[in-house]
Amino acid sequence: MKPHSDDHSEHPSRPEDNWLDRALQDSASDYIADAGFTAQVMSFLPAPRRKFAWRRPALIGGATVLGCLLAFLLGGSPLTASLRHAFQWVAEESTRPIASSPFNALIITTLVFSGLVSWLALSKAAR
Amino acid sequence: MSLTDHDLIARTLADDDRHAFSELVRRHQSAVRAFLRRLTCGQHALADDLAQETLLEAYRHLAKYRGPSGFDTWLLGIAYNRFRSARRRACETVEWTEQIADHAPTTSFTATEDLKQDLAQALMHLSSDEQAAIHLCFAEGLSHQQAADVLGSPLGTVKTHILRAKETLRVQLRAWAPHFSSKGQP
Repeated sequence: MKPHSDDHSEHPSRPEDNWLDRALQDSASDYIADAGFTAQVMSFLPAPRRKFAWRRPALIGGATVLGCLLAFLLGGSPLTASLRHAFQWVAEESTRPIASSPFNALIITTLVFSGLVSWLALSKAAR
Repeated sequence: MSLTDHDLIARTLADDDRHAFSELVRRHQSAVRAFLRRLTCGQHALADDLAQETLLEAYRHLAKYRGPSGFDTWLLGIAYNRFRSARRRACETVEWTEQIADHAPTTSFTATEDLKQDLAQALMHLSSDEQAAIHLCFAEGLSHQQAADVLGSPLGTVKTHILRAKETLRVQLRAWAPHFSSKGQP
């Protein structure tokens, strides 16, 4: 029980009521042991919020876009050159109806590919 | 050095620190549960359910807590609102009254224990507002103003509740008055 407030002097008890005041003060419950109550409350809390949850998908998506661009711009070895030609061919063929030039086709394909990878990363992070 | 309630609240808010919040729960669970046990007339299971709801609501609205009233007072206010909602759901029906009657203490041991039992039964005849005011001011040791904050009532209303409650108790327990006026102490 907490220390009793002096505020009851606002309503001074009649002398014959002293016993009642004491009885009421004594009626305070003893300390109630926790007995697993706190653990039960904690188990019902919502899942902890993740700080900077946006960082991971942003990093994955950004790295993907950057990697695509670097591979496209800097690829000079025979292997990367052939991969570049293969990618260019796929891009041109798949976007022929909508792209006016091979360069536009590459940009559209790169954006679609990056978007797809970013969407996969975001949906994985959300899970 | 143990952290104050305000430190723990700040940690919970800043970092969603579960250990800090569990320490807050551990510190205040007894007062909240005792208050609700009083209001539910000793229905421990119901009181603990309401206490759990109280603490979960406190967690959800922790950012709204404003320091001056004291964290325990704030918690008791939420607990009282929870109790009123539960009572409203039960519509103060026969079941509620019957449940309370079923949990009335029946055994007695000594003169002091007898008084406690009689007092517990007499308290059940008070309205829940009167019970809450009496518990907060006498068992929890809150001032009338703090009790008014918890109950969300004007100060004058709380004082009236206490006066009326004591008048009722005096009548209910009148058989005990001569016993104490002759012996002085229970």
